[in-house]
Amino acid sequence: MTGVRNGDRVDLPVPAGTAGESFSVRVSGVSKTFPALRSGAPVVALDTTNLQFEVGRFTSVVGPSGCGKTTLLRMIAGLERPTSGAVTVAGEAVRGPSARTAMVFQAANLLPWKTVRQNVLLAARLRGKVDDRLRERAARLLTTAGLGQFVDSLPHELSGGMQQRAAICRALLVQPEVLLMDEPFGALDAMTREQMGNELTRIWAQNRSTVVFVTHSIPEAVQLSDRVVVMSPRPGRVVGDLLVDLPRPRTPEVLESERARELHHRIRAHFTNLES
Amino acid sequence: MAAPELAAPVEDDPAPEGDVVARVGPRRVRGHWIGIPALGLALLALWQLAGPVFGVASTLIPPPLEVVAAFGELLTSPIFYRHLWVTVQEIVLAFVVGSAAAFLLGVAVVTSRVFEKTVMPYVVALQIVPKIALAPLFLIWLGYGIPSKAVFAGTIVFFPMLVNTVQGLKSLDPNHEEMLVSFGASKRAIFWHGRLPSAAPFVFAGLDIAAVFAITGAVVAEFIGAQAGLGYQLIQFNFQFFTAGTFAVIVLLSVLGWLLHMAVLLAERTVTFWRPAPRRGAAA
Ligand SMILES: Nc1ncnc2c1ncn2[C@@H]1O[C@H](COP(=O)(O)OP(=O)(O)OP(=O)(O)O)[C@@H](O)[C@H]1O
Ligand SMILES: [Mg+2]
Repeated sequence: MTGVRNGDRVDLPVPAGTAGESFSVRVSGVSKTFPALRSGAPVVALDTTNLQFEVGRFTSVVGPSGCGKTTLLRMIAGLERPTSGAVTVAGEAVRGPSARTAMVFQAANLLPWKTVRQNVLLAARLRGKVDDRLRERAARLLTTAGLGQFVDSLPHELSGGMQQRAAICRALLVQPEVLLMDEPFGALDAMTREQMGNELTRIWAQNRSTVVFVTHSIPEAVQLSDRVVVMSPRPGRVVGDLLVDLPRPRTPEVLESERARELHHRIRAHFTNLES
Repeated sequence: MAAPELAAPVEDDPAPEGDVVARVGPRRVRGHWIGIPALGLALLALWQLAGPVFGVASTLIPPPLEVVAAFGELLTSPIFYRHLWVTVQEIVLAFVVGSAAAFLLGVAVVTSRVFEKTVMPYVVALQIVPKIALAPLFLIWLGYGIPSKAVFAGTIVFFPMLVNTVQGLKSLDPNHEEMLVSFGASKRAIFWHGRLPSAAPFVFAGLDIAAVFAITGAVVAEFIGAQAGLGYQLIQFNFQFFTAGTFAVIVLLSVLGWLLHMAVLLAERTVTFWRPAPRRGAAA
């Protein structure tokens, strides 16, 4: 089995097991070029890239704006086809959106005409059947995310951070093997960001799915991840890849330790090297 | 005369008591509730006096009291209810059938590529035809009764409703669409959970236009050829120089329009409850 705890998965289609596979996501020789628009040359969003994401690991991808991070996630999610190369999830080639993955977008993307609860249940409903157990789990998730009193509120009645938390609950509820997160806290202030990061890792620790987490923020990457992948400016390439061997939970003491500071500097160094 | 007295405003005391900013809201509301009826009454009074003071013939502009009398006369005459009933049927038929047909065609156009490519060009071409020019034809084809009026008004209702429906069904935020796709939504699921609700505000805007167009259409169609209906009666009154009667019918048609508008508004508030209130207090 993959090491993903999917014990109470019965309410959703159970994907075929992938015995012996230690990589959940493989990105092999993948590049993406967008055809030229009116303004001349085609855009190489992602240069030929090889990346593996290990089962049950929390991996962050950091890189400057426009280096193809979103494009990479979209290809893993099956929302975009690579120009070359192949993406596999749990050993299967990605051909379209799959029940193995779930995406948390840069914006919360809650449907304004559905309550928080309906929004969170919708994803699960689209992928399978909604029964009482699922409803119960949704309620628990929302409570954990601090939205217990807002389950029947409409998205416009929530703050940006609350909406993003609901979007994360939506993705967690379908219990994906791979959770793809595209700067989910990008629109939040530093304090809320850190707090939500803590909540996220706490929930993730209960059900270690493979996480690919895109961010601009080096502290955030260090706070959350087991591993950080650093990308170059466009056309994006992997220029750094390091393990974050800090103990969990990542308390303030851990994050202010010598080791944390060193990791931070090493990630930053990749950026500064690129500029020179 | 009495110019010095007019200099001192009486109706809206502008004396700022302390914090002016805090009082802006309530003051505006008060002006709203007092101002509108006050202005209305003033205009009515002016209108009532226009005849005797400026010598306007009552066959041109009947004074309001005469219109009220004509209105009373209408409401007590049984034949009037026959006319009213005819026009109401025409309006409701045109409104319901015209907008329902437009909505369904809109759905077909948005959900089927083939439909959009083959049918839409004809619809666009038909839209250019001045509808009023069709009214005499409908008379030949369908006779002088209700059907020709309903069909004519229905065609007028149809096009704005179609345009709004199509625009609305295409207004789904692409990010929301992608979210639905990422969770494996089928075309049908995207329609039910995304496109249809996102179209609701547009559809109701279309219905609001449709309400006005249905009434205009029915009345105009009756002008062109009818044996019953409020438009027919309006023309009759006009020929008889019973101008107060004409005014009364106009008032009545406006009331019908207002009722239909309120019905649309009520339905809209019920269906699109999820929209944030634009500005609280001002409208309610
Ligand atoms: N659908 C598209 N059509 C054309 N070009 C695109 C498309 N999507 C992305 N691009 C281009 O590909 C490049 C990478 O875009 P991408 O959104 O993946 O960057 P990113 O790393 O996520 O940036 P950011 O951190 O600002 O979100 C950009 O230069 C962008 O202009
Ligand atoms: Mg991005």
